[in-house]
Amino acid sequence: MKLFYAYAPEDEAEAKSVLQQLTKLGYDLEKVDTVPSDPSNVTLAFFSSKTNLNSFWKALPWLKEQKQYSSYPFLRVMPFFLYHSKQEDPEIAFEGSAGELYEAVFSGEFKPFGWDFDQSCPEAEFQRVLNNYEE
Amino acid sequence: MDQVRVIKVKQSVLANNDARADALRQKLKERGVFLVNVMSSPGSGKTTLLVNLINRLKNDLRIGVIEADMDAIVDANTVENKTGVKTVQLHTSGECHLDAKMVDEGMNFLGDEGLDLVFLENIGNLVCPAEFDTGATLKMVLLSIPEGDDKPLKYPLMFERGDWFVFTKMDAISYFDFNVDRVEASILKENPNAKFFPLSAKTDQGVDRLAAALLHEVKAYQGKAE
Ligand SMILES: Nc1nc2c(ncn2[C@@H]2O[C@H](COP(=O)(O)OP(=O)(O)OP(=O)(O)O)[C@@H](O)[C@H]2O)c(=O)[nH]1
Ligand SMILES: [Mg+2]
Repeated sequence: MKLFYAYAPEDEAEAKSVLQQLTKLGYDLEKVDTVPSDPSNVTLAFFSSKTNLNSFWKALPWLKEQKQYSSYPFLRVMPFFLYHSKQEDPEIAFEGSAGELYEAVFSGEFKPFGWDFDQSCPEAEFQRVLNNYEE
Repeated sequence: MDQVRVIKVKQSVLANNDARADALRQKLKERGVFLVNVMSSPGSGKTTLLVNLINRLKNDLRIGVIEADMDAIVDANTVENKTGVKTVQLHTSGECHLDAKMVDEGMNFLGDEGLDLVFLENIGNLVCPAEFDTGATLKMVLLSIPEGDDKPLKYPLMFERGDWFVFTKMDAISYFDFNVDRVEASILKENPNAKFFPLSAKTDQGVDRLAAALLHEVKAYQGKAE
């Protein structure tokens, strides 16, 4: 299955480790710098508590452009939150900068998927959540 | 009697409900707590049935109740006053269902120490609650006779995902065109393991059978099958 992805430089190391695991599972992953060539494919938009909104927009300029015109219902963008449950509680993280970024960037149609580096197999839950994006 | 304790709960910010539900189910299993998610339309008879069932089971099992409502407290007061078992009220601030995070918080608030059986009365609604795994051991769906026997066709997800189906208000069956055989057959088509309990909480007809089945299920779950 083909998936697009994008991330800001501060999330590169963690995003890459997720991408590695997803590649092992057989996903075909492609970085997007402009609007995804096929908007019917899901785009994973990685972010974390340390993501800066400006650098996130720089990594996904096409998303900002889309947002100005519509809430991009035709683009299937999965908010993909990277965290370590032993270090932070996502419920609290979303009261701060992670929540602000989520509100500023995403349509709100889909809740963020949380990839917990401290949980044994987050990819099983990823596959379940990804099913929600299929029409 | 004092008013029951109330907490406001919020949905999880994340979409990862199923992993959270699995983790809660695992935790409850380790503690031997059997959690029943009771779902139906508003007014199908959830609270009335719970009071009746609890009064039959409370000598054999240690029972707790989590009531969920958008913002009322009447059901929790009714259950606690009529059964004396420990009851807490969750307020969902307008949400039409419970997710696993809310239930986990509810269980912590109730304090599951020493409990064998916890009933969770979900928000009265046949749509949203069906979509969310709460971490419950058993999903019990009520359908009252006056609602009509076409509900499985209109709300398929609820009837596909439920485990036990209780047809309530059987005392009123002569006033309605409700065909029990037909509704059972239509549920079994999509849900071959479904079990059925026609009953009336008013006349008590059939309630004994449900109570006995639950008691058996809880004992088997705890590894204490009679
Ligand atoms: N005739 C008859 N009436 C019943 C029976 N069970 C419940 N009722 C009545 O149905 C009405 C609703 O019952 P509740 O137990 O409050 O229903 P509920 O599903 O808890 O309702 P909500 O919490 O508002 O969703 C009440 O007036 C009950 O007395 C029954 O077996 N027979
Ligand atoms: Mg009720």
